[in-house]
Amino acid sequence: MEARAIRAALVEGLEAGGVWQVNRVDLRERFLAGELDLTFAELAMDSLAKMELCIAIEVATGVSLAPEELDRHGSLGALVGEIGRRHGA
Amino acid sequence: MSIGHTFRTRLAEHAQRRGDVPALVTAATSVSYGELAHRAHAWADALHARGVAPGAVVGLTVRSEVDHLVATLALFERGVAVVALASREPAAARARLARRVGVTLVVGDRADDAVEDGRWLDVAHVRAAVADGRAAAAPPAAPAIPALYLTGSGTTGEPKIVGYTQDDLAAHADCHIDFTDERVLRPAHVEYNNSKRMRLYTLWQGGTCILADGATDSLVALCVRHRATWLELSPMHGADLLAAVRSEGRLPERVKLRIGGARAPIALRRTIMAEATRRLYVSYGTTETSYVSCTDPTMHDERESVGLVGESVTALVLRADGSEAAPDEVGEIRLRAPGMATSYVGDAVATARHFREGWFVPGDLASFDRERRLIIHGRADDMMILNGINIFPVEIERVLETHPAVAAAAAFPLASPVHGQIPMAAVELREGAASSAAELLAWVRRELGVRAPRRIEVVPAMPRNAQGKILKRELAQRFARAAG
Repeated sequence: MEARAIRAALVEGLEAGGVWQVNRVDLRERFLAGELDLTFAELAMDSLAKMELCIAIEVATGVSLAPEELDRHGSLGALVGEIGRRHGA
Repeated sequence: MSIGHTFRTRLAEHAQRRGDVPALVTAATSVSYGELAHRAHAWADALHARGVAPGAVVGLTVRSEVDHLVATLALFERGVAVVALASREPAAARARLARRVGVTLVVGDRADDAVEDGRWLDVAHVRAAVADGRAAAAPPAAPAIPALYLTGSGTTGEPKIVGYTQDDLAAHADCHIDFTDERVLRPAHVEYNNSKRMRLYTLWQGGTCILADGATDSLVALCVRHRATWLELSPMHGADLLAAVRSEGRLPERVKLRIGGARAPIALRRTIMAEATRRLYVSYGTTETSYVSCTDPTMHDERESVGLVGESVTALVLRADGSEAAPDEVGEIRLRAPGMATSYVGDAVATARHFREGWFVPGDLASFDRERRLIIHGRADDMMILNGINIFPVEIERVLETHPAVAAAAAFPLASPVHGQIPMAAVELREGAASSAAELLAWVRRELGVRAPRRIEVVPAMPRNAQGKILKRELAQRFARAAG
């Protein structure tokens, strides 16, 4: 699965969770292009937003993640890498 | 009170009091109550002459609707139990049903109506014996218990079977909409269980059954020609009705339309009221209890209620802990009604599951609104739980179907090891309409928030079974394969 497709799934999940950063077109486009990373600390997601992100990832990629796991990955970029690895596994 | 009555005595009463009233009407013939009572006796005598004895279990594969009903009444009179082995069913399915209820003889139109090389009686011979009129009078026979086997829903595997005595059927008829002076058109063939039940109730009450009996006329033409006062349809036939009214005009003003047997979406109700008739009634019932509830034409809104529960029916909506749900709170419905079934034939597991403490528990989720109108929210088995949030497929389907581009929607779960069940949906668009999955996702998200589906796919056509029911399991399998 291509990194850009994984990034698109993440954007969908962040939108569903009402995470404001993805509504800024410049940030979203740079993230999709792989030119921008955002840390979970910066995103300040509540538990509902985390749930939405995990659901979107699972629906799009088949990779199951628990919401409490997210912070461990540090940033969205690291998460993309982890999903790519698990998806290929 | 009907207890102890049989259809034989009831028909005799009708013959005496309203002998000229038509009981059965087709394009070709009209059979009055006087004639029907006479014909049922004559058939009973002919069946007796052919060796059909009390205690037998007869499988009926008779394609003529009039003869099917006459044969049923005659077999009731002979103390014989009846099960319809529908000609539309494959031979193997008929054979399985026959075996499950212990059919001892098939009365059919053709030699290949016999099941598994069993005994069969050619209905043409019975007709000939009736015409001949020389069959000896059959001695009276005690009513068979049960007298009629009906198959209920079976979305997986074999259909469930219930058996009813004539008293049970009479009790159902007494609880049902009163068709005494009505002319009731039901296009579904009498071989279908629900159709057969309704015809028997109408005959019990003394009303007129209008039978399409293979006629290919439109529903409007049938209503006009036979001066129908009630038209009874399943939601599946809604499209047929709309096609007919669009070319031939609205239903005659006297016709009341009743839709039952499956969910009647509000979009369908509104279109029917705008284009076919304002006199629309939507009802809810089960094979196991018969009539439960019905709306009147003022009750149609987004909640898709099925109306007020009948006076002699008791319906409770319970929480998981067994306490009664508050108004507008969804719980599992249980039902009690006169003449209701108390078990399934040869299925102890399903009996234990659905018949509890004197109640029938259909497995439907329901709520009452503050006006005590009943609302059905789908099957309890279909409820999805997403991270502890209860989601009903029908709430998703209702919202999607309010979108102008959507013709039909089906919601179902994608199993998740982390979240439980993630709601998904497939939609079929209206002809010529355009929309995208993204637009529909946003639409439903606005209405339902976290209870919205997380993926929607626009499909060219829903997978459906022969009855038109959407095969959600098949959709779910496709989606599961697509994920990841």
